[in-house]
Amino acid sequence: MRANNNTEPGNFMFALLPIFPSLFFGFVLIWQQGIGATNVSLVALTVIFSVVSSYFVWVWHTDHLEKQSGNLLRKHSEGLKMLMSYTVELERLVMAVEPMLVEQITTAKELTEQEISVLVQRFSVMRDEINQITESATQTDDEKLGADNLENMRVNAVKIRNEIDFVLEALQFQDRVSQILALVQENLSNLRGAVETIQQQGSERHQKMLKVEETIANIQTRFDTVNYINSRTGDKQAADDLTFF
Amino acid sequence: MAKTIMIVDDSASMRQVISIALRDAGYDLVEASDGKDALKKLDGTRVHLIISDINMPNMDGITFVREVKQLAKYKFTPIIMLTTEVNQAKKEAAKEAGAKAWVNKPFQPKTLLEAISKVMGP
Repeated sequence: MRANNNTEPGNFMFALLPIFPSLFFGFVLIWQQGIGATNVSLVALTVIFSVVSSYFVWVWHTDHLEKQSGNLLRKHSEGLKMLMSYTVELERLVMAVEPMLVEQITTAKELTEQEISVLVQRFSVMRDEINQITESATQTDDEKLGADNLENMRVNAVKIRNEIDFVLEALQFQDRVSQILALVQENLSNLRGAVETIQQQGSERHQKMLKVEETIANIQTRFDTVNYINSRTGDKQAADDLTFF
Repeated sequence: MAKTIMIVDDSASMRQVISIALRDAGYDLVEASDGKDALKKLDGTRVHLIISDINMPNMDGITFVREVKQLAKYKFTPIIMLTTEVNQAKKEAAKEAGAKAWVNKPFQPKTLLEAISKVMGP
């Protein structure tokens, strides 16, 4: 913008400054030697030469500045155009990727749920069978088997049933995994929503609209809340597990 | 006659695990996949106790408890929240909505049976 100011017509007056020494030289010459055709002509020629040379210097200078200004403008506008294209593509990427990721997470949740469900069903059947064995061992009065053998069979069956119960408790991890994945899905949807809202602002959108720090803090806080129970389960206490109102 | 317990949880595997624990203790069971499904199934059934998750699609556990407490038939039916949720505000909300106990997942069958026996009485 400063370059453009230098090319304004008003600034041509500044370029005429060399005329003043010529005029000063003319006045001194006329004052010392008097007004004569030769002196006047010499002064006029000097002034004309100053004006013409100043004009050419001014034209050359403004032309040079205009070229520089144009190059600068082109360079900046290309950079801005590239930056804008990048922003638009980045927004498009977020908008396109979010539904895909959400769908993939949903599929992963469903598949895991199905597999865990099958496992729980199998363990449940095994548990029922073990229960039947325990019951039979308690009721059997078979001398061939012997009391010690029956007792051993009963004790072993109870041990296996307890192990199955432990596995069934451990398989509840699926519920916590689902909760964390649901949180990831929600965060992705919120991110997409934020980008969509900002995108609607067009050229008015700016970096502060993203609220990066606030968003990151919110995601971390919510994950910490969900994750708290994971760290707690390693050293759980009955008082934490059960609350009566 | 065995008492009937309704299990409300969106996870089929969780419903299975809870069923195993309660079936052993001799309870009859009704299963529902979320609050809305549960409200539908409550209509026309006699349920003595409800065990509900908190985070579920369609209708969450706390809204479900509030809805149940509006039903004359189930106004005094005890409700136990069985959840992975640890948010204290939600715990308070469940209490205000009318839940009688809160059990954290993963649970041990004996913890759940203890809660059932205490809120349902003999």
